[in-house]
Amino acid sequence: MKKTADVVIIGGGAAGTSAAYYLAKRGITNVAVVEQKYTPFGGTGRCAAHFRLQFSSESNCRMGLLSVKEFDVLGEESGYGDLEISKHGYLLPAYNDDNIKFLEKSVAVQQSLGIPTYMLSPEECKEVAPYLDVTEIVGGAHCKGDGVINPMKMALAFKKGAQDRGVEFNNYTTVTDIHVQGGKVVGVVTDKGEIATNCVVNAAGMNAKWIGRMAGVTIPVEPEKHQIIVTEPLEYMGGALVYSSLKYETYIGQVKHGGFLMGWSDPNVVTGIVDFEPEWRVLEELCRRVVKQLPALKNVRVVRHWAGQYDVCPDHSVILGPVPEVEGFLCASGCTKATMFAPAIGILISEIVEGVETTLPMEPYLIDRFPKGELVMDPALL
Amino acid sequence: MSAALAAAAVGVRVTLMDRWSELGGQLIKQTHRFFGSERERAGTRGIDIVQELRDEIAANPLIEVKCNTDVLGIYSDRVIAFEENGKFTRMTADKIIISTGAAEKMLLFENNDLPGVYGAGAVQTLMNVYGIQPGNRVLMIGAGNIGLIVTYQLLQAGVEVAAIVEAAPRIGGYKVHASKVRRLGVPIMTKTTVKTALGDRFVTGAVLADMDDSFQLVPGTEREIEVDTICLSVGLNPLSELITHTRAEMRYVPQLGGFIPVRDDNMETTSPGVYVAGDVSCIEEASAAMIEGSIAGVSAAIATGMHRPEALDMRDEFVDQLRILRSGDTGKKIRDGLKMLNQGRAVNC
Repeated sequence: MKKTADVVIIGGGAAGTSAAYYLAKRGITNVAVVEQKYTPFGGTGRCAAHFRLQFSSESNCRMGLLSVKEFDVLGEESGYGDLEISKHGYLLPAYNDDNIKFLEKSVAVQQSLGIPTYMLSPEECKEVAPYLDVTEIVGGAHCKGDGVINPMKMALAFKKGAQDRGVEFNNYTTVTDIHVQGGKVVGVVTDKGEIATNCVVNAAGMNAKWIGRMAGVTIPVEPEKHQIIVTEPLEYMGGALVYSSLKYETYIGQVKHGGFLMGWSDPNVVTGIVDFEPEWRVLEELCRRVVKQLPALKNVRVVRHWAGQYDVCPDHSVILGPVPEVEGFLCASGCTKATMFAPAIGILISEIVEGVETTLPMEPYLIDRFPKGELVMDPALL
Repeated sequence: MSAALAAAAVGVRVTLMDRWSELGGQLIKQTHRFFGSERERAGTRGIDIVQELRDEIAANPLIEVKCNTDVLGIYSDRVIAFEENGKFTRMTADKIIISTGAAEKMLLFENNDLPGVYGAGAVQTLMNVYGIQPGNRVLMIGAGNIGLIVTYQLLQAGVEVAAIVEAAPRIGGYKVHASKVRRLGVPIMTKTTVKTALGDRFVTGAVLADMDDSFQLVPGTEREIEVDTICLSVGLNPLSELITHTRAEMRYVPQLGGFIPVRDDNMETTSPGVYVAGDVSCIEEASAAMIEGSIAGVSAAIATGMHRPEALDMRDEFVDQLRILRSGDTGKKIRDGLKMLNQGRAVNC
């Protein structure tokens, strides 16, 4: 392990590997990534694999646009190869007139930024999501730019690209402390040794809060369990992911091998503890909600069920960049969206480290929006 | 079955689940007589032991049997989810005993997916359960006890066995079994393996080759043998998926068959209230599996609070019985394996 580094990245998931990749592309290669397990053990390897452009806030839409553009070239550019990307869109169904009005407002925001989202009739909804029962649906919003990526391959592509340019990755290495002197970061202590550095990137995902505490920084990010199930394969229809944020609080998408991947925002989930235990209660409730929307899945077997960890914050928007308390401490929290926003997170972090103008305006992503009370609420999120 | 009977003998209610349509597991195809002492039912055939145990279970009002039942998951709150006759259901239990057995290992060689390549368990099932002759001339891969016993059973059924090949330098099974098949004219070739299965649509022969001391093929030693069946008897893998659901600690111990749950003398894993017995806890003989089942059953029953004065004596007797069974030369591998499994822990076997 390096004794000194220009940048130490804590976390080898989507955010950490992406930061390493874009730093290396800028020529900043004296970088060490410290990962408690391996890439992509945590939230990245357990996530639902989908990405989208359909948000209600401009700042989220911009993160999505920047990221999807990079997804398209990452496989080749990194030398990793195919990332199993396919774009069949997200469909956000509307169940009443209020829903339609809400979706139209979001679509207007998206269209103003050049995102190809359109309102669909129930018949058109059926066309983009063939398994969906549209009898209770009055319309929906669909964007062809949304899709699915293999998140493990994505993280490994970032890692390969960074490694090939000289970045050091340390697996099975736990950060135990961060040294701060005179309000500046001076070093990172791990169970395998110490690295002297003036710049730390906190890409620890579900553990971001505890990494913050080591440097005396308060980060309003908490771990929160999220469970996903996958069914046995059915005929692949290439349909849109059905994202029912307005009624069932579920998402259901068919992945390439034919299985349906789905999850539910469990309102009873306990926030604040790391827990990878799948629960039968969630399995059953999720199945009930899914079968109401896609009756064809009624007798289809579930073949996998697992739990991952979100890194939630009060407004569910990313937390990126410097903190007021300590110089040299940078946040890189995806706040439930680290995979889908990974490229944008990495690009912005690399620009901040180099001290150049950032591609996107940083204000909506900075941590000081919380004390200022300027939260970026996005009702289109589950 | 042994665990269910032992637990019920202490006085607790037991639900016994099995994915097959009948109880019995591997015993239903074991037409050979068992070894050991009379306490382990030596001299009795596996198929007769099954019937005895089934009758005892059927007569015991404390045991409920659920056949055609797949256990799908064991959750952290001890809820067991299962599919019974096509319906998803769940239940809870104070204690859980997992005795899911083992699956046969596959061997990597060219054309190993040709029809005519069987696992030894499949050959036994065809012959001994359904009365179907698996082939006319068989090549047996592996000279462990299963390979030797199945060879003998094939000969009994009138099937020719061309040879038994064994990659290791010596025969793994009991000498008495090896002598028996040799007397009947079946050659046992050690330091030999199968390189290729021959045939377009089904097995018509095999290419054999010598192996050196580091288990590498010796070039130039290839020779063909004419057979229509290749029977693989190359060991078993514990079916430990359900144990991993309980987050019990697993360790890799080659002598015991692979990833094995760490457990104490009561057969309780590191996941409290979860017990194991049989091949899933360590690849061994049916006699050992039955005693382990009895230990697990009695221990789990005692742990529910159903404490009868004689229960502890029952448990100690079973533990002693298992120790004696593993005490000889043939038990050395198991004893070494258990020592390795329990490194840094108190060992009592």
